[in-house]
Amino acid sequence: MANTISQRVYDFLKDFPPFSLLEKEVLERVSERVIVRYVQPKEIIFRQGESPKPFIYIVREGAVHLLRTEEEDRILMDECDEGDVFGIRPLIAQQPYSLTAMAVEETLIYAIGIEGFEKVLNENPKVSFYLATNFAAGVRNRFSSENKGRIFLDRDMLIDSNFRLVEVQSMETSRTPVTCSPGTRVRSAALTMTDNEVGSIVVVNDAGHPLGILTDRDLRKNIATGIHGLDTAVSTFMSKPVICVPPNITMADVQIIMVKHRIHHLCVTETGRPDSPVRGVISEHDLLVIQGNNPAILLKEIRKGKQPAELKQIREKAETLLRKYLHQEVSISFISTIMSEINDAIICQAIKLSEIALVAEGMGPAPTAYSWLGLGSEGREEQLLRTDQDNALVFADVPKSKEEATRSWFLQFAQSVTRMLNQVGFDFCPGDMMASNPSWCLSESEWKEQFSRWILNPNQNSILYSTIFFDFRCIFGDENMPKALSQHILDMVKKQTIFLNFLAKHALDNPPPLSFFRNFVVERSGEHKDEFDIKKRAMMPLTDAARILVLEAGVSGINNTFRRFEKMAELEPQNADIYISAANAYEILMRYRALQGLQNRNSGRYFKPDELNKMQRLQLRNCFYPISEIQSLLNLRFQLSVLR
Amino acid sequence: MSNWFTNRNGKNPAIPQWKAYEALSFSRKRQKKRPIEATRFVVFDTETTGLNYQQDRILSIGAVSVINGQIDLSNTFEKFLIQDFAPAPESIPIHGILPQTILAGSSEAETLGAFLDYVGDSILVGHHVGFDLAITNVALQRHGCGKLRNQNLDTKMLALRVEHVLKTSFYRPDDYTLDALCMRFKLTPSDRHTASGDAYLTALLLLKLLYRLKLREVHTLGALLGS
Repeated sequence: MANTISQRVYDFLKDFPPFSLLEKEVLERVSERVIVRYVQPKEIIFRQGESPKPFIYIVREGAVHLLRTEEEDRILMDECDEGDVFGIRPLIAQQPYSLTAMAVEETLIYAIGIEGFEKVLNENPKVSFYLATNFAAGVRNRFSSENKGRIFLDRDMLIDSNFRLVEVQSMETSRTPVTCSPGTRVRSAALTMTDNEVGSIVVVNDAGHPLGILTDRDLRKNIATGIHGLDTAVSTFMSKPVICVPPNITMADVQIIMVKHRIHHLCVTETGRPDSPVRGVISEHDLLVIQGNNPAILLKEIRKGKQPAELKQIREKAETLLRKYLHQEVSISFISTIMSEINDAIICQAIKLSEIALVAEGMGPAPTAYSWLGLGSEGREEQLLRTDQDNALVFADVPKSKEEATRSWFLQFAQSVTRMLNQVGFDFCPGDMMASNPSWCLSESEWKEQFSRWILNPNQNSILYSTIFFDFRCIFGDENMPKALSQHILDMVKKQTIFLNFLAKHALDNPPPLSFFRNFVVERSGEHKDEFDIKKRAMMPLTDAARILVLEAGVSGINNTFRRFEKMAELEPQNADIYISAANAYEILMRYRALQGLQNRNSGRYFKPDELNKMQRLQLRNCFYPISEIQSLLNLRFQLSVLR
Repeated sequence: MSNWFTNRNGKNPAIPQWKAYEALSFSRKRQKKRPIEATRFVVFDTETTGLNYQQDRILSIGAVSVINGQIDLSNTFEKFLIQDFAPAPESIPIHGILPQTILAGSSEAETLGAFLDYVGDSILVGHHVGFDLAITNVALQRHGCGKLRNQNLDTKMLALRVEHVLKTSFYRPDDYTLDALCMRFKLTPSDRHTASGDAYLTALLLLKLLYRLKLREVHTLGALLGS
């Protein structure tokens, strides 16, 4: 191209649709005719009702508001920032502008003469199609359920051959299933298995429906040990019921089911239900053959790990897995299930090792029942990367005389666990929200009192604590105490409904970032100046809203933010749209944060907006709309304007 | 090519466009009341073989024109010059002009002629414009022409004025380089150290500075240049 400046304009335009759809030579010609225009704050670029100018516009830097004037009111219809195209009306129809375009800050726009562009349109049906579909529809339609949980990755990232779509491939069960009837004697079943060289045999009824499964392990446990004779009928000790799955199941699903049920074989039936004919068997071994690195193996390694350094290594392997999943665009609900299982297993192992260590030091075993609670993102099963530890401990009530000794054992114990987790790579919580802190290592009745106090006397601190502690989840130990605590919270909240109003008010403290490039969005000072805080600005508003909604609805046992929204959609069909889009937005934000974290080797919480490409920005920005919708819903429901 | 030694006295300018340029009116009085929006500014930059305007030569001239807040890219100026000597190798990394580029360029007289046409009676703007004017003037005189007669504006001085540092006796020169100003005024530098790239960047800086002066009631050319 003849001119250096046009070359830069070309470099900019080529990344943004519709210009990205043009051929190089065509776009070069377009770039040479661009008019660079400086627009000062509040300057009008065109007015509603004005006849169209012979230009279309794209924002180079800054921000432009598209406003509709109705009677006296000016309604903000959209905000355009870098790369957004606006004012394309003259291209589509010779009609007056339907909106007013006004710069909100110092803005540079490229005005692209439409003279000649019409010809471009005629010659490039792709471009006309793009313009027609994108500008006929409203902005909200861009955030469709089709994009659920997906984010735009760089093309290079997607075609990396290391990331094959293994997990979401359909499982092939080519082998004909080896089966026998329930009355078959063990000896003959074993012979059949040997003849067919398989490690399991499905026990079926006359219709071919699975009744149970007999595996090598069952033979070892029941026959080799001499518990049962060789002439016993297989039905006596076969494993049952057998978990059935449909033939088109994906590897990801197979993994979830195996991890969840801690089983090694799944039966494939025609319909996926036990009352249909057997088609095959999927064993854990099959999975291992198909893929090398897998969560089940990692979990097994964790359960064998003796040293924090070993656990750290395994957790790092898990990060490789996470990266693979993210690049494959595997669903976030799957990813977070797996990663939480892995985190939980590490915590459990640290707990077991600490228990052993305390015994070795002569402190003896745990004096009473207890439960290790994960808080915050760990509690919500949303911790994809290793972030700070947030945990607490509840132990069973003991007589007053033993309280002192009991508490001191658990504090010692918690210190050991948190130290070990720190060595694995889970940093200490800077706010000391850890079970090793005497304030968060309490007996069941003390926790109940504490929760009551927070709920009955809502102040800034108690609200803040509630947002962290109310998302607790039992990771290890007694499961009844955490359940009782959850119930206690729900009961108290029902009695003291004003608490929810305070909680809601807190949730609205972070208004959604309507646009990325407005200066107020990025942090203005401190270590992360000019960076975007995705946790505080985008994720926390959704997390907080979901918590309040389920608390109000009296739902317990669902901690995950997007599952909470999905539950709410079920409970309030009239608001289902808002809730589902919030759930989707949250999934995208989680995915985004994890990707940023992996890329920058940190928590992924902060990043520079200008490091994003246009599509990523668009997508993130689209996530912000549900935030503002959810917030106005909260505002309405808890009538916060009165409180504020 | 005519021998420029004989043209040195300006009796016989070797640049045909000079005549038309000389005939233009540069009356300051006439321009004084002109609104800034209606003024054409030509923002330009030169890349040179060195910093001695008497001895060094122009390697390229880049210019853009600004009217009413707009830069029309279909009307910009960019020329690389053929010079009798190649640039010193050590200056290549700075301006990126390779000997080949220069060979593919235009002659000095040709370039200056086109530049005069492009400039007309506009206000010439540059960052540290004094140097660019001086080296251009020496080149014009080499071809038997006179000096540029346009009014001119230095974006560095303009920035000092906007930031009120003129009244204080000292400031840090480092804060008023094109790079530092771009940073402060949130302009993304690209193609730095090419004449066109710098001219374009300076033009954007000019627009931002003019806006700030406008907020202080600087609306006419007189108010802009007069003080």
